[in-house]
Amino acid sequence: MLINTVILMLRDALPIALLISFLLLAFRLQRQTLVVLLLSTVITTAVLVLLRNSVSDTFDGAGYEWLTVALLLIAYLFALLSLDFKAYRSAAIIAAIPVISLHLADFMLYLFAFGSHSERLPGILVGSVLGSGISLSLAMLLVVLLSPYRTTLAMKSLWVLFMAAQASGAIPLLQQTGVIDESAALWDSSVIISDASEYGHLLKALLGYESQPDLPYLLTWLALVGLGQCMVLRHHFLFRSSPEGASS
Amino acid sequence: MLRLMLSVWLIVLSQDALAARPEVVVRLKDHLFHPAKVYVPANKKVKLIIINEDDDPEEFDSFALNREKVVFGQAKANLFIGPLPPGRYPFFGQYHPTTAQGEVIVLPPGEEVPDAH
Repeated sequence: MLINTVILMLRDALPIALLISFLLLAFRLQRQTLVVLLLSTVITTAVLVLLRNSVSDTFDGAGYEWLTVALLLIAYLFALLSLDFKAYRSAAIIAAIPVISLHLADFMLYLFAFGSHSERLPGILVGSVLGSGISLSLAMLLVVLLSPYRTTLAMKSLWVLFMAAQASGAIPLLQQTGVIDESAALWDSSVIISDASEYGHLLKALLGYESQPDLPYLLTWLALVGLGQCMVLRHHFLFRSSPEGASS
Repeated sequence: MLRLMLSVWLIVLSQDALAARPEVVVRLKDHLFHPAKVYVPANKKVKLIIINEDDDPEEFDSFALNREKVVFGQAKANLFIGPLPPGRYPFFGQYHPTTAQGEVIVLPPGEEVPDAH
């Protein structure tokens, strides 16, 4: 139970910790904005946890997948808006809420299901602390490593790359619902970095790494990353001389 | 009019395709998958129906199939896999990974499902 909890925490807490790092680095969020993010996330997560069972039953059992896909698309669109929008901090917060809430809701479901078993509680608590510690350490390492390169272009570029990676997760969900067909894996790098390993989880959270990606996933990832980077460059070269561009 | 006819034809065709899609039922009881080996044909999309007979929820998870699906206690969930090339694709229950294990075995064209007895 302990190891399993650590693995689940890495899967769900690591993307959240990395996302908050990117928000702090790229948008220099202040305490008030972080409080808004926290409250909004708590409410959204509670709604997702409470409605999950009933939503899952809709659309021939694919209701939660459709909801997740919609939330990931909203997150990506607002991440793009955060590049080129007057209220760029608000757009970044709106982009972050669905991603954090989806991961948090997954972990809360596990906690609620097994936290009530008293014999499992110590393992779950220790595993949660260990998983949170690893996730926070990696996120802080990211902040320390990237702080010297804290230019608008680099940070916004990494922010959009991260959000594109999150949004690419919609493709396996659409394949799961039967909307998109799978194709054969284009390559298999699981011998070098397995999806189940710590590095696999980190690269998945950061870049959307898949050890055996298929064509629909790769094309979507390339399109989302490409579109995002074009928007970053456009914004950088169009507005870098203006006060708004310089401040963002 | 032609567009309408074409639309109706496409809907009928897609319904036929859905109807012909193979389905496999996997039951989860005492945190074990039954059957643990799921045989499916190659190059066909297959609907997996997972019925959780336990009271606890479970998450069907597979890195090889790239699937994650929470199945609540005393509930069922559907998910599609494939079309897949022949091979073995392990899956497990994310909440009970030591006991809830299984694999999807994709059979090459013409190969029969081995007799369980």
